[in-house]
Amino acid sequence: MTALTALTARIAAIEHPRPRASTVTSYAVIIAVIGLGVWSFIGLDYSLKSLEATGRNLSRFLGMATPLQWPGWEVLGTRQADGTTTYETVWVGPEPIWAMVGTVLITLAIVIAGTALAAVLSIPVAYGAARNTTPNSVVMVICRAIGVIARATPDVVIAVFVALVWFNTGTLGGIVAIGLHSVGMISKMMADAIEQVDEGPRLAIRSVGGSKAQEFWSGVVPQALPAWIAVTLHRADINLRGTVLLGVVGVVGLGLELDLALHTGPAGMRKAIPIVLIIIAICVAFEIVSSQLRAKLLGVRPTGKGLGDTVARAVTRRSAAAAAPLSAQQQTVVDRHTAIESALHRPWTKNRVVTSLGIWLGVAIVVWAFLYADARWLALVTEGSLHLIIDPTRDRMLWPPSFGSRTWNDVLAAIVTTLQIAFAATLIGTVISAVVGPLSARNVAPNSAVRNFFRGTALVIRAIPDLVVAIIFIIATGFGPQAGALALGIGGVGLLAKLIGDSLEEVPNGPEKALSAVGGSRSQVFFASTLPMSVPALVAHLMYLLEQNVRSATLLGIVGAGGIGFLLINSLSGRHFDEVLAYLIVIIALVLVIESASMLVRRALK
Amino acid sequence: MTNSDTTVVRIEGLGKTYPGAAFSALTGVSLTVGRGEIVVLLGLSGSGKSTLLRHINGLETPTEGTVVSLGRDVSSLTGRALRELRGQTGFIFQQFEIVGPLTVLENVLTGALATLRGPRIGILTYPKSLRLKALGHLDRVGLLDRAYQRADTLSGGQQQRVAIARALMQDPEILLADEPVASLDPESSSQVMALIREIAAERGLTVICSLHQVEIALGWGDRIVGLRAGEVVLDTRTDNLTREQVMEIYGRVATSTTEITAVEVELSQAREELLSEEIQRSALERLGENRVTGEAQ
Ligand SMILES: Nc1ncnc2c1ncn2[C@@H]1O[C@H](COP(=O)(O)OP(=O)(O)O)[C@@H](O)[C@H]1O
Ligand SMILES: [Mg+2]
Repeated sequence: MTALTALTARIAAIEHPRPRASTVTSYAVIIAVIGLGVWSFIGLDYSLKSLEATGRNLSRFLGMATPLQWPGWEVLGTRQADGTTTYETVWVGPEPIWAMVGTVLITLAIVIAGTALAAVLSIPVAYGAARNTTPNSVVMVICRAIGVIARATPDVVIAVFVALVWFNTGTLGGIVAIGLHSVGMISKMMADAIEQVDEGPRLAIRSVGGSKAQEFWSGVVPQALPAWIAVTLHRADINLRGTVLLGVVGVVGLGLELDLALHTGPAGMRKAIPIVLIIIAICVAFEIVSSQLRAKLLGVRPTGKGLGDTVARAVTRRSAAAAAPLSAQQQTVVDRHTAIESALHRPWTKNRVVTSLGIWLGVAIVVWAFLYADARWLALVTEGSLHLIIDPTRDRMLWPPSFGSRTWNDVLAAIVTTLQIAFAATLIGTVISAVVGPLSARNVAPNSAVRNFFRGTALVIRAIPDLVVAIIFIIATGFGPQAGALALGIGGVGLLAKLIGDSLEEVPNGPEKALSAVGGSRSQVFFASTLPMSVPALVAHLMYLLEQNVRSATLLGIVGAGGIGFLLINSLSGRHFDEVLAYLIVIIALVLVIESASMLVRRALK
Repeated sequence: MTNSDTTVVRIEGLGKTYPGAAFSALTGVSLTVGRGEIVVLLGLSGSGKSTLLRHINGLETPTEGTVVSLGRDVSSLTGRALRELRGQTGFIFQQFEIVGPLTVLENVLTGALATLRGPRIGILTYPKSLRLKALGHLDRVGLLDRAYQRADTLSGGQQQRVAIARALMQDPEILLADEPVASLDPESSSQVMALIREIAAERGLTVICSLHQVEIALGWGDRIVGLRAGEVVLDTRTDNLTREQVMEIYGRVATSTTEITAVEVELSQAREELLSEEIQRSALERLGENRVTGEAQ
């Protein structure tokens, strides 16, 4: 008895170490995300009644949207005597197909031209923003501010702005919008890459007497180049998905076609789903190409089965025969001078062929994009009607910003709606990913069939552009914020589940083995070892998803999900530029707050 | 003593304290190097060898004292004048510091940047005459057949030879080398050291080379300058010195061709011992004794 009390006393006396900051942060974030998510759910009113209405609207939409009308066919409805309508699908010739191909091409051209523009603009911004290359701290602050503002200003806003100031400029608005907005992300990632380059080679260029510019181009750029290309490709991918939204504000392309289809009654509605499917197909194809290219840039050698490799091999074989390398013996005979002379001509090795083909193909595609998009660049300098915006005698001028007839309370309510969409979407995404993610990890899934199934699910969801789904949802259900949150939430699963799966697989497997060895079941091992060890990584992913969702929720407002984005697009279409500016400032502040919070959390997790 | 027309580098009372550092990296360093001299800087890690070398081409600015290189007061130079001086001063780094993603040839070409205006991207942006010259230097260091390979696919010894070719591209009058073989295996080390020596002889270069390894220094330089905690503690010609007994191991390696593996094991053990700081310190101290006896004679 006394022995037991002594033991209890000793147990009680064991010092409890203070929990580590990262543990506290992790659980605080998880609790906060769940709490805010639930609060948002209640706020967004997912009541039974509104769910019923959603169901009704959805079936009405499907009724109108089917049978699907693909380009090349026409669906004709004839009313029968008994009051029902029968549909007949007839071939109307290939013209609509060519028109659709043209639409796809113009979409790609705008995306490629805009992203290429951004990639070039990002170089000086990144140069100024990177700590190790910036000329001075004033330039650094300016360049970083440019990056933040570009990231926070939706491309949709820029597009509308350009369209209003330079009337009828065709594709110009889209290219400029993508070009400016993408500078935010590309310049930030590029600046990060520049800050990570090895300083040694730069120092070497400095000590041969190189100028600052030479140091940058010979010492820094070659090292940061792969990152620059990879980020640009990744951004092109995002921009392609984003064009759907640009279409809503009138930028030509698939987005505009979709928007028109959705607003021209049943005849148009039947075209909507085929357009969505085409968009998804293009996005998937584009993603495959760009991820292949990125994998190659990160040093993965081609397997040699692709078309490019086959072409490269064929060319190499021919030139290898022409420039057969000298044997060692011949080499000694040949005068060194001729050896040097002949070395002036770079041999066409397979590597060089592949690289050159890649570069020229890339250049050709970008040039094609600019030519095909045929933007009226000159209009930028000749036809602008800036006076519409800055003329102080008009009440719609840009400065000073104002909320117009709205009060701070209205604006706050809108911000709350936007945040609720983001929080609810994050909660939905987290809950689903909490199942899909672990089951797609090799060390958690009971067998490879399960793993592959859930990996595949995440992959398919990721391939589908969530904004496109959101637009369809919002229009189909007639419920803005709720549908938006649902679409974003499901879309988030693609990202979060993959990140969770990867993080779980990265957990060192020693403790897992130890637990299995003492007879722990699969789920016991998961909860006792795998999960706790990966919590900080999971929380970091969660913050990333939340950040993304705030951005997307703002954009969704533009297509009818309400919130701050809705206020913004309203004042844009009414040309109240002072209000546009005010809402932009609010959005930028919102993005900044979320980004800083996310950064603080990530730092605390380390 | 060296007289003023053959003086290439003159350092007087050089002191350097890095911002925020508790003690100075260099104190009262004075050193005069004449044309064509091959000087070895010896000293433990942290004794200030790199700092001293970096003052000679203006990568660092002195806290006190003066550095005159090729007749110019280094710390007073800025902009083009500084770049010109650096252009005439080759610098070889311990970690080679060539630009990995660029080709070998382009790396060599960057040696000519001081003579060119504006940035260069790609081999073809350099004039043909420079390209021929660069290929010639690559041939000299035995890497002509690697001209179009990515530089980071080369071995350490090859990368250092690329760096030497880059320095040759500068047509330098002075060659500064900061522990050029500290990251290399013994085989490549001796190749690189021999190459620097040959090139210096061919072109009458003035060489100041810091080294970590006493055994390499002894057979290689004309003059040894020992640094300890930022001060010059030894400055003598090598022909006054006797080789240390530990160097016999290296003698055996050089002649042995049959027992390669056995020798390699011995060699790596011997190198480990050599690199341990105690041995270096005692070697340096013995060098110090030598100086005393040298002066007595
Ligand atoms: N950039 C720097 N900033 C601060 N201290 C430095 C820097 N470079 C060198 N030091 C210090 O100066 C001293 C001499 O260093 P260094 O010249 O690199 O010696 P060595 O090349 O002989 O190893 C050391 O104490 C080192 O820590
Ligand atoms: Mg050093």
